[in-house]
Amino acid sequence: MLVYVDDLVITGSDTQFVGHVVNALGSRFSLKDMGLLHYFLGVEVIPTHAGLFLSQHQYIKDILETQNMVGAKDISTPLSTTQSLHLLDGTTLVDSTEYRRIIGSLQYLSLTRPDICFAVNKLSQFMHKPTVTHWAATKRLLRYLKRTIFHGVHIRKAATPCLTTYSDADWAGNIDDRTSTSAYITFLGCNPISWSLKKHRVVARSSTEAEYCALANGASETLWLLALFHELGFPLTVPPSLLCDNLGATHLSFNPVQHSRMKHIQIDLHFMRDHVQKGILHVCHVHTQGQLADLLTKPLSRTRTELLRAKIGLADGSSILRGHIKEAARKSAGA
Amino acid sequence: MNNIFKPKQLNTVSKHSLPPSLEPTCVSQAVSHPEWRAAMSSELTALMSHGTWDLIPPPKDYKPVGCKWIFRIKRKADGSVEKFKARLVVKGYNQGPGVDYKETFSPVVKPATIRTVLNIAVMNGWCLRQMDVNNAFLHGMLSETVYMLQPPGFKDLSKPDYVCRLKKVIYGLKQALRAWYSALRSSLLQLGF
Repeated sequence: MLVYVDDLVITGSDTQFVGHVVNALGSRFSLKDMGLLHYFLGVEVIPTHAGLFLSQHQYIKDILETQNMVGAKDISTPLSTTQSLHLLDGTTLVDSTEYRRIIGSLQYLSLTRPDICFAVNKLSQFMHKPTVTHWAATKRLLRYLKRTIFHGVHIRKAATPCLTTYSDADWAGNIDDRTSTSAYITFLGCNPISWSLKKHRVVARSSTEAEYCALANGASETLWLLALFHELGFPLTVPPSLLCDNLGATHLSFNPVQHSRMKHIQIDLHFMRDHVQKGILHVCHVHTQGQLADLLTKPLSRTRTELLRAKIGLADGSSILRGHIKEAARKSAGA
Repeated sequence: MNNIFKPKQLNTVSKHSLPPSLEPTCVSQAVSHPEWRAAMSSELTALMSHGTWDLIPPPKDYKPVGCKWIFRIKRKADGSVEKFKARLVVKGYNQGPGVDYKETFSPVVKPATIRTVLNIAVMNGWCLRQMDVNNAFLHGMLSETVYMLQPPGFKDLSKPDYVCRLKKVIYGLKQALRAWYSALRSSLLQLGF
């Protein structure tokens, strides 16, 4: 059962028992049974023959409408690869209230859209002092959203339930203070479950160090998910694998050597090594080309964005949604 | 020529003005519309049927917290109007810690958990049932004593200076979420979870 304040979702193996729980709750509180799950926390849930499709297209449409950008020209990447964003770039400041409002509403989109996570994270770093360049970048992001309005997470039935976490870091990618950005994305089978990216608070001196921090962050999230699966009564048989595209970081996780350059990240180092040696986690190397968390750490070209977006499990649901909207219209016309 | 030039000013204000808000911001605007009046009286009926407050003479040495009406048009997923909704809220920002409230923590579900549960349901082909609790917060019992001013627009004309002593939680109170959480928790525990 999921509870978000006053919205409840109940699922279970026994349909009769679920019905019984619904009735028992209904006798205590005045409930409105909305039937099968279709709209939860602003996310539209559409059953397909392969699974479930999660979409926030109405929410995106609302944002575009408030900005009068419904008719804007669309674009294929969320951020420009050539123009990097600085805190102070010499252009004039813009209204920070409006900027904050849009970024705040875009943050909620991360529920179903891992592809814009990096752009939103980057833009929210300028929340206190947005300039014209940042405003233009936000508008560009909205134009990207307009193009990909029907994209969403498609949860498909996985043949073998195994957890895979991709972790990646963009070493010294922030031009203003040369800190790194680390990101991870966790899959159950082929469906993305959890993703996050974070700008580091301290400067890393080597890319291995940055990647190692990303690996440790991904590992702690994976361990949390393992515990969650255990609690829900679905212990996973295969140990979860962590994929990292840095050979140094991969070797460090199981090779008990202590380099002088790694002294200052001892906590992460021992944390990872402990779990790898116990056989709870499994760390592998993955080539940069197959690194799916790449999308969360840096702006990419159009072809690579589209490739990774598809691999991550974000699907274009326009065909699904079109049928769904038509059906709803027909129903309301019939009623 | 030097290379110093004035930066180009992008106009954030569009020439197409934004649509005027259809939702009234105060009671005086709302009472002239029948749909908003109906929404307000249905909210008040719900509050009364739960026995949310008693009208009592104003207590000494105590400043009652204010309240106000919030008006929203609820829309369906496709954007069509579902209903007009009026909600009476307490100005919780006037509550003092230790005086009007003590504990406020209440857990909410993480997005990753939602996706995990949906994944498990898809894997096993389970059905997903969704429901919504009407006036969820009104089920929470209030452990502290809080006094509230009478709702604007619906004052008892015979006792204009009386205040409401709250018995149940109402929206906007700082402890509202926690009270609802403990009510739901206790009934789920009784059901055997």
